[in-house]
Amino acid sequence: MKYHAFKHILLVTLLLLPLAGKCEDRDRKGFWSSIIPRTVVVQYAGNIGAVSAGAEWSYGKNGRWGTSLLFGYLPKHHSDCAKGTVTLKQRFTPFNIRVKENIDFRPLECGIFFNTIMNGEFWITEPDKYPKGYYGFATRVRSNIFIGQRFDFLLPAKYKCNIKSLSVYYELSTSDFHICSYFPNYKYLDLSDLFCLGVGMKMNF
Amino acid sequence: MKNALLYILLSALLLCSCDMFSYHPYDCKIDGPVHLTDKNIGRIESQTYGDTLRFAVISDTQRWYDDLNDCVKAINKEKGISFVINCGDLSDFGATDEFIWQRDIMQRLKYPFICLIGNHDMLGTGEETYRHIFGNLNFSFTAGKNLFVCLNTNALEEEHMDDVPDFGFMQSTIYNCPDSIERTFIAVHAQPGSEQFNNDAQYRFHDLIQKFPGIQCCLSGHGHKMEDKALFGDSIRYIMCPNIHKREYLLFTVTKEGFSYEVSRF
Repeated sequence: MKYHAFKHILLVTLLLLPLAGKCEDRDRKGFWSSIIPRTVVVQYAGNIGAVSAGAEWSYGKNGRWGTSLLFGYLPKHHSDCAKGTVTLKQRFTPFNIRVKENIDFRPLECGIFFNTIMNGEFWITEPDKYPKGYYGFATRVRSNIFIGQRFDFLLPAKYKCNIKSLSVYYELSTSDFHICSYFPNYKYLDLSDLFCLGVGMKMNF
Repeated sequence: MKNALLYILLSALLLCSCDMFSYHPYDCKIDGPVHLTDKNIGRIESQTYGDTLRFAVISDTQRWYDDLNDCVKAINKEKGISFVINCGDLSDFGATDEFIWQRDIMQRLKYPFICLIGNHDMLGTGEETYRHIFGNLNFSFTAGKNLFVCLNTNALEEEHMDDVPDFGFMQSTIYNCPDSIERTFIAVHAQPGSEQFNNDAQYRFHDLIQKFPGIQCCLSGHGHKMEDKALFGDSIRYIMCPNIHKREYLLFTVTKEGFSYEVSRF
């Protein structure tokens, strides 16, 4: 992982920290309170940008299900411009194991996510200049599946006023492009060509 | 449980070392060899002399990595080839990995290779990736007394169709053509008449290619089939190379008298 990527993650984390204070009234009941996301997510790589940050809404027993909305940054590299991305992710974590008094291990996390690039020459439906169904796919939106693991570190009671727990996770994801490319070519392409790695951190308020 | 933690940590480290972090399919981070058009032209021009020449043509290699890999092995077994031309569509989606995989297979050729840009290569950030890995969309090179002019004809992909093909580039190539050139081959991705071509300008294109010294034929891909036609009813043939999945490549032989080709299966 490159140094500048860490710098981005650190910056985004610092920017998001003030949000923690906003969640002090989390025990208050009510509709608006129930739709406030309780988790801030920061992720490095993973097919959704170099660094992405956003919020997750988790629900179900032990937060088994989670829906997150992430905003990502894709550096320019050799293209004409840097790009912004938006990701909608649906996660399922069927079980968790209490490793230690304050550490939870979630051995399986899986789900799907859709990612869109905000700027640049991309399209969702083909421009009119093309004959109907000329390419048959959208360049702007990528559908992905992922599988991964997660550790939750529950913070001692004295810190609990803001952050309940910190999580670290990694996920292996693959996009529709990669799946279409891999399966007719399993002799030349390797499984590592199919999957891409992303790591991230969550702060649960 | 300590073992479990250690195991996870080690597997994470292992994964990191595999360089599997990827930002996005359209992230233009490109490692490995780049600017390959110029590098390969340098090799061709320094290694090729005189009239006679053998070269191979392949096309539309997108998402057929196994077939392309087999084709490279087959071409490597051929003797006396000066270079290989890939008539474009290296990628299907314009995604960066696709170009890198194709480049890495083409790099296994023991002969120099030239890759043209196809219409699929212009999707998303494809054109930017193509420019960085390969180079300009229009270029020409000499192989002994033979001139090869490679042109972008994917007009449908451009905002202004009239800019493609680049007639200014063609005219300046004719103007600057060395006197030693006796034959010219044109290579494009989409030939006149295809939906990609700027068909309002197809006669102008056909007229202009005849101004090159000793015009032989126009090579193309895009149609995914073998075709050899005099599209404009004169002596200039437009030869379309099949896609790589047909497991065929064209092997051209050029002599003082002209050119001939055979379809090789692998």
